[in-house]
Amino acid sequence: MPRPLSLFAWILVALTGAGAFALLALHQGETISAAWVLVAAFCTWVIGYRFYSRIISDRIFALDPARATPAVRFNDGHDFVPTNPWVVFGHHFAAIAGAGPLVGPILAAQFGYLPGTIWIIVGVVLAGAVQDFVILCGSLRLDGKSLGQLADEHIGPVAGWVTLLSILAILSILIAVLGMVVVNAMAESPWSTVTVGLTIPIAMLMGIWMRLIRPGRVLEASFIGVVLLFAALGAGWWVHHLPAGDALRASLTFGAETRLMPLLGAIQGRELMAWLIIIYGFIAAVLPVWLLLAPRDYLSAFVKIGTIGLLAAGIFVVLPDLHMPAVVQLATDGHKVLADAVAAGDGPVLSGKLLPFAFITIACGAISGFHALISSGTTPKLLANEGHARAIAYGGMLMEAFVAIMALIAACALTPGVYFAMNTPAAALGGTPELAAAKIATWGFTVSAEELTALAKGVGEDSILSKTGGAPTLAVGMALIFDQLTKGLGDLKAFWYHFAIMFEALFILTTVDAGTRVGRFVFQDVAGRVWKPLGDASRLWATCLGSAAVVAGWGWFLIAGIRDPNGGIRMLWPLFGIANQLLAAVALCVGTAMIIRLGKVRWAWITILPLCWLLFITETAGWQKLTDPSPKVSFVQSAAKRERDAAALEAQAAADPALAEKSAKQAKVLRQLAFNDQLDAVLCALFMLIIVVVAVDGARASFKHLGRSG
Amino acid sequence: MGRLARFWNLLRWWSGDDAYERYCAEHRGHGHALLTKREFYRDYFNRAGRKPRCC
Repeated sequence: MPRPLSLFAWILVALTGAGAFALLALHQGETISAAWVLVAAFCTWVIGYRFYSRIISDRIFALDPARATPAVRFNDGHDFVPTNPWVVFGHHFAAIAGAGPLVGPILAAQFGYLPGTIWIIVGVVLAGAVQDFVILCGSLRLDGKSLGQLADEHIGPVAGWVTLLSILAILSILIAVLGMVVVNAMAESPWSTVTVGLTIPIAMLMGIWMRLIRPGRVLEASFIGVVLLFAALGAGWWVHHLPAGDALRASLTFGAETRLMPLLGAIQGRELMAWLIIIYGFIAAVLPVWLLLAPRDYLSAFVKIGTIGLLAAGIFVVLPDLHMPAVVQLATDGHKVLADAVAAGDGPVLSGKLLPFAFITIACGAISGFHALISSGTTPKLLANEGHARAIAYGGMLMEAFVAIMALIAACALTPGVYFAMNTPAAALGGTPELAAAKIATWGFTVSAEELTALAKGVGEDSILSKTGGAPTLAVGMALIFDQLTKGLGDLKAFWYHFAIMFEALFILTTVDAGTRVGRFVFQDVAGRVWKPLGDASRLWATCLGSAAVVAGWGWFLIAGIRDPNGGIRMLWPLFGIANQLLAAVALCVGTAMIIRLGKVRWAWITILPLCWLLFITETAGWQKLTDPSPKVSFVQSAAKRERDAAALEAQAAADPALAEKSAKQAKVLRQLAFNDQLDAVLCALFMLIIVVVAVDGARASFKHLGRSG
Repeated sequence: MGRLARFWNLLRWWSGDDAYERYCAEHRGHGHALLTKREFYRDYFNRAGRKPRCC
């Protein structure tokens, strides 16, 4: 294209994007078309890709297609393999895209559609994609080394150890939170439980097929697996339609009922499901990879990419209207009670104020530290040409941001009444559609009990109330969009809802499997330095011990979250966000030190800018989690309140023998919850300290280098 | 048709369906014994289990 024409075209793209942003921000009506979100996103991303990413590829790393990559230099046919760029892109995207970009935006929708939209669209260009791309380039230049090794090389051994510690911490919180999302999605839903449960034998059958019956026939096994997944949906449907009193249906409905179990004693259905996931995580980490993890990964990757493609098509065809206010805390007209609660950090879905918690809640989709592990893991060992790095790392992250935007659209396309009915914990909402509708009316949104009941029936559930965790909300949003696509085939909302739940649970469980196994490797790596046999992966007892340690780490948080009457997601998701952003801060520190060592100090702002932002939001969020006066926000205040309540109950028990047993029991639960809060507070403080240590260590290493070179 | 075949080949590569064929093509004639398909895929899947999956 001639230069003036090209310039004109780019100016037009920029103006269109700016116009879409202005419309989104200033719109006064009740609804706004999702098309404007998509226009703002695409205009910003094409400009970011075309111009901003070029600074990294051309000015900083001077990527050269003729320079031999680690995959070419160390080609061993196993770990280092020069691979077609489309194939590398597929691997990279399948590895970075998980539940985070889907769940985070759904939860952050409580702040309105605008904060999440701006953070995802702008954050990915200036922060997330920069991190992924810089770390990939750094790893390419250092023989495909990992993030920990890069930290050790460019900053020092302290940063190397801190990175290892961060990975273990983030894995524990991440798996616990994702486990909780699955429990909340499957609780009281035999259809979901049966479908998701059947994915385990399906994956094992695929494993046996690929390993023993028809070795290496991956596509054949995947095809069989996908067909069986649809059969599993049918089996779930069959169980769901059994009479209410049927024993099979009842045993597969994990809700608030109490069950008597060997070893566990009297236990609530939801907690039993959490224990089943913990046991599953342990077994999956110990079983041979080919039997469960690898085939599940294939199944999950195919379903993930297919469903994301379908959702994109659905959103482009349907172009739903967004019903959520732009910024909830500014929507005082009729919504004052809710606006005040959200502004005070006591929102019904998430605790914490818009700034910084909207930026913590949406991690993957805008920036995720975990991606640095992928960018310095498999991807640099497969890349055959440096020139492809930009499309794979920067482009891959833009694609993930698109997934996050779709999730946000799906959540905001629901009426706010339905959104809050699904995402507010039962303790705050009341247990019936009538109570929920009345509560939501006080927030200025209209939804009737009949509407809530009809929607639940429509998606094949007994109730959609308090289905917290984000996954069921996304499933309802997706079901409504897909149902419009397949209108001609009749009412398929229930099918699409359970398909979406299966899709989410499938790759969440893959993350649980893979995360536990990777956590075990890290644990054995560290433990092996203390006592060598502990690090020996060929010893079954060492493997079991390592897996048990990792499972105990995340299992503890999972059970604590399930028992929390205010909803574990509400408290734990922000902690997960802080942990994830902590790893991102580590990665950006490494990136900055790397850029300075390359002698490109004048371009170091490209990583320093997002690093400063992350330091600000993570430290502010951590500070508020420790010092905010509200027990709804602060772990410390929450622990103190629970301790006071427990003491009051114990006093009551002492004064009134008739209430002694009940009060003592409640006091014991409260003391346990207070201990959980205290532990969360300690972890939060540790994360804050780690960020400061890495930032100071990174600055020290960079200034030392500048002093030497200059 | 050419594009479809290319897509199919990329899909096989991405999924690892043709990994053994590529291994044989790469290692044949190097004088060392080749792994059987079963041995090769045991190793292939074990390596797959070491990869992290993001949130």
